[in-house]
Amino acid sequence: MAAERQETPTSLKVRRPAAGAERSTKFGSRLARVSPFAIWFLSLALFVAFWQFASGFYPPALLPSPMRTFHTFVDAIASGQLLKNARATFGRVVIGFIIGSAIGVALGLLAGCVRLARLALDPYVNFFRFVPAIALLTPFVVWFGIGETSKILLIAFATFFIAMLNTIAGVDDVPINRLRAARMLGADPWQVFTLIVVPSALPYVLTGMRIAMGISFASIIVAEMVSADLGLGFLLSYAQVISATDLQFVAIACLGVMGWGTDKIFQILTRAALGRVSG
Amino acid sequence: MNARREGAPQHARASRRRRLRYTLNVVIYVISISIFLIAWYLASDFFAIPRLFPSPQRTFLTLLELVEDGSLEGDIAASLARILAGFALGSAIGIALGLLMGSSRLMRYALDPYVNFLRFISGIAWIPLTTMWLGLGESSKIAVVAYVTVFAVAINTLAGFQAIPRIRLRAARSLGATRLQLFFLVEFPSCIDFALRGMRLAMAGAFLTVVAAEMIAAESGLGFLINSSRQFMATDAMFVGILALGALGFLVDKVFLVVGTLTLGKYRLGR
Repeated sequence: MAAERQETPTSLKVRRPAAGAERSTKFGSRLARVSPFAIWFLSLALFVAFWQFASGFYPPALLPSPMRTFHTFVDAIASGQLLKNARATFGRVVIGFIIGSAIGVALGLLAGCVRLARLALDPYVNFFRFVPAIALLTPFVVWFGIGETSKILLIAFATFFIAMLNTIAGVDDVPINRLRAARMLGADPWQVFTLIVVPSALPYVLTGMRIAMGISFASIIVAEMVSADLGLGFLLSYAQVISATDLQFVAIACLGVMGWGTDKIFQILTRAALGRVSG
Repeated sequence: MNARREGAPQHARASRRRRLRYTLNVVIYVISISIFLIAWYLASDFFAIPRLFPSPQRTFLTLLELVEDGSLEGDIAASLARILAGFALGSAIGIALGLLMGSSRLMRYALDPYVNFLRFISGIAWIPLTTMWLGLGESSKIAVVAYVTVFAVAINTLAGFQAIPRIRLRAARSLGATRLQLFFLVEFPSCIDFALRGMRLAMAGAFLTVVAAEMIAAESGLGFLINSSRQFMATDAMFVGILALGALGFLVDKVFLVVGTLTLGKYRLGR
């Protein structure tokens, strides 16, 4: 039950019948009840048809047709160009993400449990949460060069803050009765920490990491557009230079698939963690 | 009985303790910030090249300089205008989209694939395309900021729709509300709180996107200030830009919260 409620803000899928469903007998609603896939399919078909229609009015450099984009996609796969760049982007995100979330979660647990650490960190947290990580790209490039280090550090920084903020919120939200019960049953502080605080905060931690993953993908593209010779962001700006709009579409779609895939993984992990804690 | 007699002094003690805790917090804040400034100063002293890592004083002097010649105000105004225009446009579209998807199952299923796919594509990836379609001017940046805002707002508005207690809908219906009354008097007000929260989240995305857009293709704005400083290795100007971004983000968030609570507070904003 708790898992359901936690999911609603981020997921569009509704398992319960929608609020107004029971009284509506219109064709659309009936179709929706019979098969959402039919609507998805119709909607996609309409979109592609419209795209095809619109592309007839513009040169392919402005708006390539769906077929042309698909051919470019096949070519980019066959030549290895797409996979090579996608792998570079993904590698940077994963390394930076792991470093950032490890530090962020550790500091978040510390700040959540120790009041002094919390208060000492507070001014920085409250300031940097409003600074988009991308703003630090330029100083990072100046300090660490245009190589991998500056990009990985940028991702790590972006991840770090969100992971930390969410971990602190998670520690704050541990039910007080759970803590009291554990203490009353004779748990020492370490046991309270490992057996109560960490598992209770886990869903928040995972949610934070999930949000951070989205921001990591956004940040890495800018970094690659501004300074890189490999990666999807580079592919985007390269395609812009040779005015290959179809290639830009392919790169954008590839980014979407990667973002969607990683988000799904986190969604599954979050649900598993929630099930364990609340079950 | 005992508790009631001790009520007043206990209250006084509690408030004294609260005041003490408050002063302690302020003291720790001040100590923490001064440690940071000292560390910053020492670090800049040990770094051989002050160009690479300017000291706090130098950053402050650059800040004054940039304020004096008016360029910082200009950049802040440019960024803020883009953010607000894109944010307003995106929020309007997002709320409309969320309401549409909430009230019609057909629309929800029809739009679901786009919303659920496009929201994973950051607005930044569209910057090359929008600059090509809409030109190098303001409209391409505003469009990208609006794009980012739409999804956060739409998804939250939809979540608000789905969180309406069924009892409330049934009550309205059994009291004879028409479909339109149900929408305007029950469903829409119930979504406002969620929509505002979505807008607050979207504001962070708008900042991120506008900075990126200004770094990639712009002649003004805080992102431009930060990125163009690289060519002169003017790290102090970068620091000023970053500080200004943080302050601006903080202020905009607070203003949004206060204005939102004052005007739409009865729909429960805040926290």
